[in-house]
Amino acid sequence: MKENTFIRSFKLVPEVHRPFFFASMIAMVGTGVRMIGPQLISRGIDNGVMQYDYQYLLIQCLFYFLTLVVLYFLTSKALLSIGLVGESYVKSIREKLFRHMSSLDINYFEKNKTGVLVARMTSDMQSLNEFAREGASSILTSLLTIFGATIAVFLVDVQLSLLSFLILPLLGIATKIFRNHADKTYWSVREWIGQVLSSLQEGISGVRIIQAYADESKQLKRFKEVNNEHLKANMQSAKNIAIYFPFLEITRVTSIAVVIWFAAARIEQGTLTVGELVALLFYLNYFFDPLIQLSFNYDLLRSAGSSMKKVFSILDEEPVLSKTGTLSPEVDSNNVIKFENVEFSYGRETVLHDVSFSIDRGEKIAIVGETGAGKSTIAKLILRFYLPNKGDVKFYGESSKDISQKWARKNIAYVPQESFLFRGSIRDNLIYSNPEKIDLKSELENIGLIDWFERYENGLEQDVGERGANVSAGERQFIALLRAVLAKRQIIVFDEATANLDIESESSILDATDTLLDYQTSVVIAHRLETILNAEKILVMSEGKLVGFDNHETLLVNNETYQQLFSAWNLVN
Amino acid sequence: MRVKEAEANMTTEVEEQLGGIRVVKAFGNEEQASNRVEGAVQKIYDTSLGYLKLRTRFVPLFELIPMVITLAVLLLGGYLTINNFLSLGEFIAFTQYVFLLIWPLRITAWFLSEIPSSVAAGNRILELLNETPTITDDESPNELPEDGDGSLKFSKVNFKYGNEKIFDDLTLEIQGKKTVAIVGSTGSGKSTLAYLLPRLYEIESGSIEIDGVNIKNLRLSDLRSNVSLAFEESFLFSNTARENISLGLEDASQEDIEDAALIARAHDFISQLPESYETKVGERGYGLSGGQRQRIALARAILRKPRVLILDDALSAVDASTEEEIRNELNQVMSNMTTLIITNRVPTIELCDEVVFLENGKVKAQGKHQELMESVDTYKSLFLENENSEI
Repeated sequence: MKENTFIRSFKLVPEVHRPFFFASMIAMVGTGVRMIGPQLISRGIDNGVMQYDYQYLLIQCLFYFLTLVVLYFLTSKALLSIGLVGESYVKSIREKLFRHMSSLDINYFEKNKTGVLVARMTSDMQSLNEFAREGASSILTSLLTIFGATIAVFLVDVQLSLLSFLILPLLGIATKIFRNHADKTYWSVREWIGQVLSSLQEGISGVRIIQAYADESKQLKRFKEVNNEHLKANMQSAKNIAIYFPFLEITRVTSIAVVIWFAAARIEQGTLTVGELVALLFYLNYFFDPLIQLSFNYDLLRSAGSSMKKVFSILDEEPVLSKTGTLSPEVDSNNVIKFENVEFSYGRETVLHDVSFSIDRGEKIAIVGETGAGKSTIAKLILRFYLPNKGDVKFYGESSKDISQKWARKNIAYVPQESFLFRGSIRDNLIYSNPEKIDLKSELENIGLIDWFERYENGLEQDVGERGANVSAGERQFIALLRAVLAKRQIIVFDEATANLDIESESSILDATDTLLDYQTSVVIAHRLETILNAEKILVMSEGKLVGFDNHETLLVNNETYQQLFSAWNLVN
Repeated sequence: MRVKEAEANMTTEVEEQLGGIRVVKAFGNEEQASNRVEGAVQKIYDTSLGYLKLRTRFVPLFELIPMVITLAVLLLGGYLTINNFLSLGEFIAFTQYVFLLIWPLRITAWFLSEIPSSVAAGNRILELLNETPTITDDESPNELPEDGDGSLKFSKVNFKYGNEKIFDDLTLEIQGKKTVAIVGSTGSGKSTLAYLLPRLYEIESGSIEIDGVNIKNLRLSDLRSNVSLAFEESFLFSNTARENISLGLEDASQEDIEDAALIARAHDFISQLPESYETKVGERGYGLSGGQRQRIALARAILRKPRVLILDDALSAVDASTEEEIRNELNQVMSNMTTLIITNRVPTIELCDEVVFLENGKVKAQGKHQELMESVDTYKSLFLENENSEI
């Protein structure tokens, strides 16, 4: 750990420093006002009750009442401002976190599951939220009250204060032990609730398989086991508190007993008044009471801390690709993409060996090969989602190491295999690359696809639903491809869907797809024979090596790998 | 409650933007994505403020209650003490008793504020517990005949998903030990047919029989151990490869498991995993490719040597040459059981003894692929276009 999580969390959002300071000031004034009360009571007893002067007592009571009114407004204001600080803090963390996440390299998203990253922004943030909403103000006021009460007791009587605090070291030790245990149980509760949730999640999303294979009882047994461990961990946590609380109570009572014992003698001597004793007792209670509050909030603080650690683990990830390279090559030369002896690995094994080829402007290229041959790796290198380990990938003669990320994004379009549509209308999705500038209607007319959307009830305004669920898989892919074409990038990288499209209804989509690919330099990871036959040149990959790069006819004659692949596809005929 | 809604909206937004992060980045639209998420975050902030203001108005009141009581004790107790109705000691004791109230009051306030959400949660749990499974064992279940060969008979089966009618008086007979391709366009109910056999869904009317026994009269556990399914979306549990294959069969021997894996062409890659069959796979386990997952799911389906094996596009993610190998291996296994293969791929269809062609919720035709190609127009048209574009 580089820096204390707490300090780092505080530094992370400088805009809350001032409001936080302000809120603390109000809370501090509130604590001060709270400490006046016992003084007034003390005086009321000494000069009122003891002197049989009810008038005086009434005046003190009136003062006391006034402090209560002031206290209400101060406490309310303090809670509000601390709450505001908390809310702005969580808001700011969420914004920073998402901004940072979205700036990270694609590599990061391949290593980390989307679900986990979403959780970082949502459920992991829950404990931070809780802390900001309730914990922070409670902890702050508790600390201030303890502090204020300590000063107040000493102001009343130094000797008795010292005596009453004699027991504190014991409390300190007990607290330390409690914290150690609380930490341990905290982690095991977290661990087991995680297991319970994942067991549940698996049981629910896999329910069809479980039922079809009559595996219900085994699943239930597994769930019961983890659930039981979770119960045990929670019981341990309850046990910790059950041991700590009585101890806290004993210390409190002991310290009060000590005060009363010695105070009796002092009152006898006349060096202490009854009122002062009552005030002391009040302050001592003010001292011990927040301790209970604090121990309740300890777990909250703990989980907020671990939320922050997770936040930092993401913030500490540095985007590499967007920081390397500054060039924006001119797009006028004819040689669009060039691979020079490219070698690449994702870490463990080399997936591309010495791959060299070059693609000219306007060419339609298909990449073929078996699963794991390195097709998508080539696509990712062309997209500059990665940089090669050895050799070079050049765009218009400039190395991908030197060109800027921004240039790559503005000149290379990508259509992933699983076409992703955003919620909203078809129109929203099509103009995604530049919502203000694209004149959708005239663009579609130019391409000759304006009629294509008449198949939908609402035409271009048809709502696609979450993840495009309202349109078919083939239509999704088509819209995604059209979106990329409308972005008017120099190069399109298209990962064709493998899913068994229902050809009868999708053939018009496939025809339109072929039309679209004519518009730019395109590289398609091909799965359909038709796409391959339509390509001008075919890159044949096998086990990370480039084994052929030519047109269909030539490859069919002299390329063994291609012949094999082709006969596998061609089983149809 | 509005805070919860705003939070849910943000979750949807974040899920969408992160789920589509490749698209976001490919178009260089990170700024737009961040702005959308920030809009959602701002909404949470705005709605939280209302709640915060309300809360900070009430919470301090609870803290004041003991102080107000102290005030009352002072006023009344002081009066009583001055007039000698109360001793000084008793009066002081009273002021201290108030302290015993603070903690219980605060806890009570806290619990009271938790009641509405607890009740709501409790109601949701009760609702769930009140649901009863509609598909249950028959009271006096029948047994499948020992010597049955897995022949299937659907008589006048009607089935709806919600309001959408899937099967309309579907009648179909399949002889035992045959391998049958179920063919039809998207939405024709091919997959639904697969779910009906192990009674994952209940039919509305009509009957389904295996070896002459109505599946409704069979124990669910018997039925399901005799009907094996493998789906296109192969679901793996966060367990070892061995446990995933032997799902529902705790006493399967390692030998049987390996045999099944060999047929499904899964043995080779499983052996190469760090801990072979004991390697954890699934969501949090060793990352397997789509094809590898399907092969494990296939091994799982074969292992229990069912009477009826249903493969629902179960090899869609396996590459062409491996698929051919698996098909050859399966050929031997399939000769011992009735196999339904849900597919529109011609090479797979050609491997089958016969084809059942579904259209409009009925069996439009049943017979050899070649015969159907010649005699059924809609069947033919399904493949004519298919021929050029199918892998």
